[in-house]
Amino acid sequence: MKLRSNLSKFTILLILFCILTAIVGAQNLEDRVVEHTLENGMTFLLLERHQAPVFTGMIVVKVGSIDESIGKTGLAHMLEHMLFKGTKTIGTRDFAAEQPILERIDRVGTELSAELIKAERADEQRVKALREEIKKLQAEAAQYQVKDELGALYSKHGAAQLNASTGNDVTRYYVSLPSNRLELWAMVESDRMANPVLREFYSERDVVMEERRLRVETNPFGALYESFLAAAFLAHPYQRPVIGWSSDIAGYVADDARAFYSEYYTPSNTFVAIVGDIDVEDTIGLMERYFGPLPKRDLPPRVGTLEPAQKGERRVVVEQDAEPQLLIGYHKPTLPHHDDFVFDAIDSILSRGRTSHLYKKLVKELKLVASVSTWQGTPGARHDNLFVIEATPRSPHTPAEVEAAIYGEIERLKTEPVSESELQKVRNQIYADFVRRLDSNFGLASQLAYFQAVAGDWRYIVQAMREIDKVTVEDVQRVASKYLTRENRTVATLVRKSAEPAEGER
Amino acid sequence: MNFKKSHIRLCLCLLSAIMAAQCATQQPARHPDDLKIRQLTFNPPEAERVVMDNGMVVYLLEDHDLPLFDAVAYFKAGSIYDPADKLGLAGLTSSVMRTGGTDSMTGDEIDEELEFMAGSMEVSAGREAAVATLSVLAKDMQRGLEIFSDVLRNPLFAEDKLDLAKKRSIEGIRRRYDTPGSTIAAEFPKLVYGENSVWARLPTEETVSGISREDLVRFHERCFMPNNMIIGISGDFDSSELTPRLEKLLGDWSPRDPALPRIEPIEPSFVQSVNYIHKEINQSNIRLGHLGIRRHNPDEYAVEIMNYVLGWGGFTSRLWIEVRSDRGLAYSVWGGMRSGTDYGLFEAGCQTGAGTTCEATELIRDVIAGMTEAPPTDEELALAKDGELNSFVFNFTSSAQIVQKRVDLEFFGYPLDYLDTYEEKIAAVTGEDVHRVAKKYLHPDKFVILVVGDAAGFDKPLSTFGDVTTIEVPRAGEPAIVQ
Repeated sequence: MKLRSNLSKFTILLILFCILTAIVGAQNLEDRVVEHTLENGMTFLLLERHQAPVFTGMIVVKVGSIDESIGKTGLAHMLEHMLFKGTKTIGTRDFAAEQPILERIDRVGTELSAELIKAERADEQRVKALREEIKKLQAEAAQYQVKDELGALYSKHGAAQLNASTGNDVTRYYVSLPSNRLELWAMVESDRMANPVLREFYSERDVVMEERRLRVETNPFGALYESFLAAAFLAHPYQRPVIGWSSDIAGYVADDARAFYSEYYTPSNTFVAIVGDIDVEDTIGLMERYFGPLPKRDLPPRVGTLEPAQKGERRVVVEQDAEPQLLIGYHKPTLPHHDDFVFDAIDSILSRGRTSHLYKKLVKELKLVASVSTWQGTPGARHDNLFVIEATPRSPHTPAEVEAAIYGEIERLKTEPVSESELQKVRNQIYADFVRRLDSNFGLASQLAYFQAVAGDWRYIVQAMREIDKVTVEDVQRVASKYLTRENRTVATLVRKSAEPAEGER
Repeated sequence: MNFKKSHIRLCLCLLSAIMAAQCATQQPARHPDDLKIRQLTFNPPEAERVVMDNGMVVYLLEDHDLPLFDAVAYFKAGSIYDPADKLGLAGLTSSVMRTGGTDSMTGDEIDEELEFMAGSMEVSAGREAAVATLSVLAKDMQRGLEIFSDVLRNPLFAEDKLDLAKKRSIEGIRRRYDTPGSTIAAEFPKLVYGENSVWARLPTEETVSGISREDLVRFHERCFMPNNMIIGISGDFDSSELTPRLEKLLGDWSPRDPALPRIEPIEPSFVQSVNYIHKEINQSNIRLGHLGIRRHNPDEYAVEIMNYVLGWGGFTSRLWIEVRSDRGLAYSVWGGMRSGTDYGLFEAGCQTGAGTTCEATELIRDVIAGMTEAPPTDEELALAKDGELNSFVFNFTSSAQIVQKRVDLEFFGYPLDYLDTYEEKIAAVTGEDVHRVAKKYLHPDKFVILVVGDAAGFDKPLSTFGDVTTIEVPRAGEPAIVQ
């Protein structure tokens, strides 16, 4: 209690200090980021940081699993894998000689996919024969190919953090390199944007199938999360797994990926951040030279489906050979709705650190869980999304007990106003997060390009901080009462396979 | 105050081995290999190394770019020092040191104060080191350091926080076999080092339950002292102001002889074995390996290049190309040799569909064996060395990282000029060196093989590789049984 009163004395000074420093830091960032848009609509965000002779190049394409059509789930992710297979100049010694063989592989591959989607009714002999044929053709193509040259090129030039990722909303391609490789990066990435060659499509599809087994089918939490999203969204494509359903993966053909690429990988749908030891003027020149020639194209179609308002609690049970876990999700609006910023505050209040409500009650006091966390904005931010509470029950406590305790804390959020010092703590944390992010090329590049793509303006990073500063005690109560309700929630529970349901578990 | 100082100077020359004569004004390059790469020179900021009178080693690096302040301290206080019947003691000592309060503040008060200032302090234990970290905004540096010092020096180990930590730790043990990945990570080292080796053993519900507050107090007394500590500090401070503050907070902490139990040396042995853990899953998790090398072995550099060629080179390694890219057998495949204080591990692994389990295992074994049969090609060698040398600069991208690296290297006994000579040593590795170390340290006919999966779906019986030992893993907290 002594601590409390001390804190409140400091509060006013701290608020003043934080607002001042936050504005200084934010203003500083706003002044330093240079935005440059090419004729063809491709957006570049450039930021000089000269701490070390390195830079991060981050390309965000505004396409994710939500843009896929039914029957082709996971295609955005499959394409991301394929864009590491090279171009008409990278990965080949003689593309003219290689190309006809690739076309023959495509034809056999299309037959293979047609057989594979029959699942149990597939003719195993035929599958085997077609696989053998692809293997033979691939060996023929290999004499003209330079194996995995794109990755090798980056690696020998000292790449760090070389990878890509696909989400529900966006696909990212990133690498950090020594700063004398900026032109090399521009050359490789503009080539990848203009001339990708989808080599080895069918062996890569097998890789993706293994990735699905790793992330979902043999991972209890992955399986729970997949069912959770499928239940939480009736209409909106956020219901789909990013990796795709396995029968869809089995059915892809290379032309599916090419069509998807043509539709979505357009300059005006691509957002790039380059942060590090660069010269902004020189960099603009380089980007004009390498990415400028990409033809301007129409914006791709956008998802129009709206998730209808939820009319009652939904519950899912997933049985696995594992200890119980619990997910609870509530529908809510996405950015830049003011309530989304209030959820940023609620996220912190409920689960950030050892002084958060859920940690204090469920971990420290009741000892019901080993851990509890909340996620704000799941599974994406381009459309209205979920606020999620995740808990790991501690034996012998059941998910039902944990659920009840969580609802108790949520009711408390609605009825008991949080203290002003709690809100101030949130503001302090948001500000400190902001400053800490400024210490990394990679972190900054990720944020700039992501928010440019998703929020339409990278300045969202700074605006969000200002908006969260304005969240009031009343906001928290109002938003908790409006969204964190029984009829608006989906509850997914992982239970041990073949275990007798414990009392009150269902 | 008497600080002994030694300066470490480092100059990185980021030479490119891949340079072709091309001028920007000439015909533009058609392939990235034709680009001219200008040379870069870089003097990374150097951390100042000081030794306090009480033996505490301190690295300091000022960085006024952002208003941040970070500290990291290593102690020899890891789980290898756990008594056999108190496994989990090092981990509990570290975590309850932070949560259980000090002579002057309760743990909850520390939580409140740190979180209000958006700072954090944590202590956690690995096998060899307990690592304490502090991160605060520069304006909170003084208060942050006071808490940091108080937690390290005067922990109270409150009973209720110990009880909570034990309960949470036991829940983690109950969940150890929930995923194939966590199962293999828990069981594979035991097969190589032996179940009771300090390098493999894991806490059980029983050992954790038997740990008392008195055990923590004694462990803290034995391990946490200034002369058993290396600390690195970076951020927005002025060294001339910070050193007296450190002296005031930590200078009167008296050195004592750390009472660390003797760690039995490993008797190296290489015996092939095939092991199986049943789990009803459609994908097998496979691991192969045996003992690696000791740290500071002069062959470490050649082994690093070998690793790059074999399985750590990301998109370019032999395992990646053969297992993943060519055959589509796995999403994740990797392999390499780590050096350890005694012996590290050589491990390779992947996850593959049940129906390709033996195919993938054989392939990985053959790819590893290939390393012992001939030197890498010139292209492979060049790629590995260029990759290592050109990415070396990423060890120096932030002040906190530079300092952490220094602390880590000194903790593990590397000479102070290790980073200065690193590039030269890597550049000197030849294909013959790689072949020699592969033959010397890799024993593909003596692999310990462990597969987690469902044998009913395997392409061939696992006994293809030798007599199979089935390991029964517990469901939720029972001890493992080897049959």
